[in-house]
Parts: sequence; C-alpha cells; structure tokens
Amino acid sequence: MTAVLSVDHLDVAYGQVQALAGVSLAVEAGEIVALVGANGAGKSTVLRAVSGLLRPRAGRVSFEGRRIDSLSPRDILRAGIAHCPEERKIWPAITVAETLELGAYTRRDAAGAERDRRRVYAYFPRLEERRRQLAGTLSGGEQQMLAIGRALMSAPKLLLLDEPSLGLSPMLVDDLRRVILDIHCDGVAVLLVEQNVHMALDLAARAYVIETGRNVIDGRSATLLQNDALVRAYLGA
Amino acid sequence: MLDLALQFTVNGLVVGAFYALSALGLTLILGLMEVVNFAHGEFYMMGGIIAYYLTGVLGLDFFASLAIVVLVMGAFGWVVDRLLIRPLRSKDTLSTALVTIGLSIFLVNTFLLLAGTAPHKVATPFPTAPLLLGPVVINETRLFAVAVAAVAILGTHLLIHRTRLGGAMRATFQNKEAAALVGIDVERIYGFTFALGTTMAAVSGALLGSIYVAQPTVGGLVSLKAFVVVILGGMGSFAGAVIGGLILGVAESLWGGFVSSGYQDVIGFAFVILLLLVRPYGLFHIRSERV
Ligand SMILES: Nc1ncnc2c1ncn2[C@@H]1O[C@H](COP(=O)(O)OP(=O)(O)OP(=O)(O)O)[C@@H](O)[C@H]1O
Ligand SMILES: [Mg+2]
Repeated sequence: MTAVLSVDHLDVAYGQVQALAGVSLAVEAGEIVALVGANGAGKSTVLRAVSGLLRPRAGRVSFEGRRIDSLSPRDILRAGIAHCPEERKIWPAITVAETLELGAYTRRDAAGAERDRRRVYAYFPRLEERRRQLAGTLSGGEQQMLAIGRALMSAPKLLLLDEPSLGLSPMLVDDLRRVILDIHCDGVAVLLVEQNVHMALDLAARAYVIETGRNVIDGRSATLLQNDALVRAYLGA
Repeated sequence: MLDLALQFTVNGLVVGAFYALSALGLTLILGLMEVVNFAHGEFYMMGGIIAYYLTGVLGLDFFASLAIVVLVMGAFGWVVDRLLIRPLRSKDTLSTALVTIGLSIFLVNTFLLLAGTAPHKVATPFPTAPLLLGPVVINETRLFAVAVAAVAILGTHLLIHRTRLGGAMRATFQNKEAAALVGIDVERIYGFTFALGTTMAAVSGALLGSIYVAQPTVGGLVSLKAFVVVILGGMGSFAGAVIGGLILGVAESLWGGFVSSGYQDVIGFAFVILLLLVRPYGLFHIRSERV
C-alpha cells in the first residue's frame, strides 16, 4: 500500500525546547488514522509541522510522493491537506457564512466551492440555521462544527483534526463521530488527534501512540485496545 | 452667538474629518497590527510636503498630485513594514515602538533638510472666495477636502467589509493562525495594512496642507492627536476612529473659539483623561464592532 502522507523522523523544536524527536507515521488514501498520547506528547506539534505552521529541524514530510516540509501553509493547503486546529480558532466577529467562504479562500472553482458549502451544511444543519450569526456568538459545539466546516471548504484529500471532541457533550460527540465517518465515506483521509481515546480507536483503522516526542507503538486499533497494559499506560483509560 | 457656534462647529467638523482619516490609518496600525507607530505624524507630514512639492514646485495638477501621494506613500509604507516592522513582528510592542521613534526622528530631519522650516501651502485649483451656506461660511477647498476624506473613509470601510482582501484582513487580525490555515498570506496582509494606514495619514496631511499649511515639524502633534482619537474611540474600532475624530475637531474648535485659542491643543488630551476614567477601553470597545 502506498501512503498519501508520510512523516519520517520528524524533529521539531520551539526555540530550545525539543518537542518532537524522530516521529514517523503514515496515512493511506481515504484512511482514518488516530494519533494519541498524553498531554504535551507532541500530537499538535506533529499536525502543525505537517500543515506548515512550523518548520521541522530535521526529517521529512511527503504528500502524494512530493516533499512538502518546506512549503508554506498556503501551498500545503492547495496540495490537499487541511488542518482544523486545536481550540477551534474561529474568527469571532465573522459570520458563519463568511467563515465558510474564507475557508475556500484559495479556490478558483466557484461551482466546486458552492457544492462543498452545501455539503458542509448537510453535515451540520445547525450551521446553516446560524449562517448569518457571528462565529463568536456560537456555542462551543457549534464553533467546533464551524472549524471543521471551514477546513472542509478547501476540498482536502487529507483532514488533520486536532481534538475535535474537546468540550463537547456526549450527544455532540456522537454527532461528531458520525460526521467524521461521513467525511471518511466521501473519500477524505483523516489524521485524528484525540484525548478521547476510545472514540479515536473506534473510528480509526490504525493508531500511533507517541510520548514526549517519540513513537511508542502503533498498529491496528483493535489490537492496541486488547493490550491492557498499553491502554492503562498511554491511553489513560 | 448661535451663528458663531454653528460656524465653529462646521470648522470643527472639517478639521475633525481629517483627524478621523488620520486616526483611521493609525487604528489599522495600532489597533489591529499592534504596532505603536510614533512615525504616524511623519507619514501625515510627508503627504503634505510631497503634495506641496508636486503642486507648488512642479506645478502638477492637484488631483494628479493626490493620486501620486497615494501611490508613493503606499509604497513607502509597504517598504517600512517590510524592512523595519516585519523583523520585529514576533517581538514585544516596545521594540517596534523604539524603531518607529527612530524612524520619526529620521524623517523629520530629512524633511527639514529637504523642505526647510517654513510652512508650505498645497496649491489647489479652487477659488478662494468664501461660500455662504446660510449663516455658515466655508470655501470650496474645504468642501472638496472633506468630500475626499469622506470618500476615503467610506472606501476603506467597503474595502474591509465587502471585498475578499478585506475578509482576509479581518480573518488575519482576529486569528492569524486560522487565517494562515485557510491559505491567506498573512505577511502580505500585514504589509498591505501598514501601507493602507500610511496612505490614509498621508492623504489627510495632503488635504489639510491645502487648507492650512504643510510643515516638516507638525508630525509630533499629529501623532499625539491620532493616538488621542484612537484611544477615545476604542482601539481598532472603525466607527470609534471616525466619531472620535469628529468629536476632537469640534471640541477643539468650540474651545478655541469661545474660550481660549492658546490651549486648543490641550483639550483633546484632557478629554481622553476624563473619558478613560469613565470608560477605560474607549467609546466603542466591543469586540464585535472591531474592523
Ligand atoms: N509555542 C510553544 N512554545 C514552547 N513550547 C511549546 C509550544 N507549544 C508546545 N510546546 C511544547 O511542546 C511539547 C508538545 O506540545 P503539543 O502541543 O504538541 O502537545 P500535545 O500532545 O498536543 O498536548 P495536548 O494534549 O495538551 O494538546 C510540550 O512539551 C509543550 O510544552
Ligand atoms: Mg495538542
């Protein structure tokens, strides 16, 4: 099998603080892969390096066979990777509808963007009801939907999702789970970072566990879940 | 008495329109980019001196000169951002403040060398004969200058709220990381915003130079007044800058007319101190109203 995304021996530092020391992982076309680990393990840092927000010190990131680790976030987005960041990062004084429009900022095909807008509203009917509302006035759950919708507006082949379930009620987590599966069924690969390990392993075919910037173990989700010691040690469940 | 008050109010609104335009430029740079720009008054001064040079020395048409001021000062602002502000973008505000103080000193002295200390008037094609509007006297230059200021303010508002570029600006200043993630070139937005703020100051200077005079040393007071208006209106607030500018203009004019022209420039500062005691974040500080 060939990976669409492959991350090899990635080193990333924030100033003097080394956050990643040789992390590797791969995502295949259309696959859901989970990336889990304790707080501060470096999960968000992996996503930020893949989407070009951070420059790795060493290692490589390739997407569809092309090296992308020195590209700008804009070029990485245009290559087909969208990143829905930790803590939503919505624009509080911009309406729902305009946020989605800005999600399609780099697109030239108006018809395609319109199709994706309808698709986002189909995933999240709540957003359509609130399309004229400023994003800052949405509830936490709605803001999360908006952040995911915004990322989908670039029609990505790979979606990086950073802790989408954070702060959501159990009912909303269920909705979210269904939407992630829908996105997956539409052929989009997903790299899912989650604190909610059970949801992550339930959705993902495979998972990587990292700790203090290093790979610990990876494999099929079902296999990892059977490993009690592992579940207790790294998955906090 | 009433007629006189009306006259002073109109004079104040005229001056206030330029305070508003110049403060709008500063609110982009200070309120949104968070650059404490002490060279703002010098950008204003350069607009006036360049317009004087183009009209008075080269004999160019007033309108063409205004267009040249827009282009030249836009480019100048972009270069200043690229060379001086951008390397300090991730540093604290004190670093950029020091750099802009240095830039301000450099610009004042450069223009003193080039243009001398004497005040210059920007030549306009309008007749100087006063127009009577009921009890109020005004002239065509003033009317035209106010119209240009109003168009510039309205145009900027439309740019920010109705265009793709404006959307990218709002996104960048509300969350830079999210803006980068939808493919907005954040550095270009910063450069453009600084250039736009610079241009607004310069146009304000060129227009006021046609009513009053342009002089290399006016910058310091202009900067202070722009800061007053921005703080009065609320940092980063568009409506705040416009209304704050008009309030300052009218207050100065009424004070100067009825009380004492000697302390005219002090009134704005007194105003700000009083206002901040009541509303510490300015008149219009609500997040949803931000540019
Ligand atoms: N901007 C930063 N400056 C300095 N250090 C940082 C910065 N961001 C993250 N770090 C450090 O890098 C390490 C990895 O952080 P990262 O945010 O990637 O962890 P995470 O796995 O996403 O954690 P969480 O589950 O809490 O979101 C941590 O030790 C963190 O303190
Ligand atoms: Mg994280």
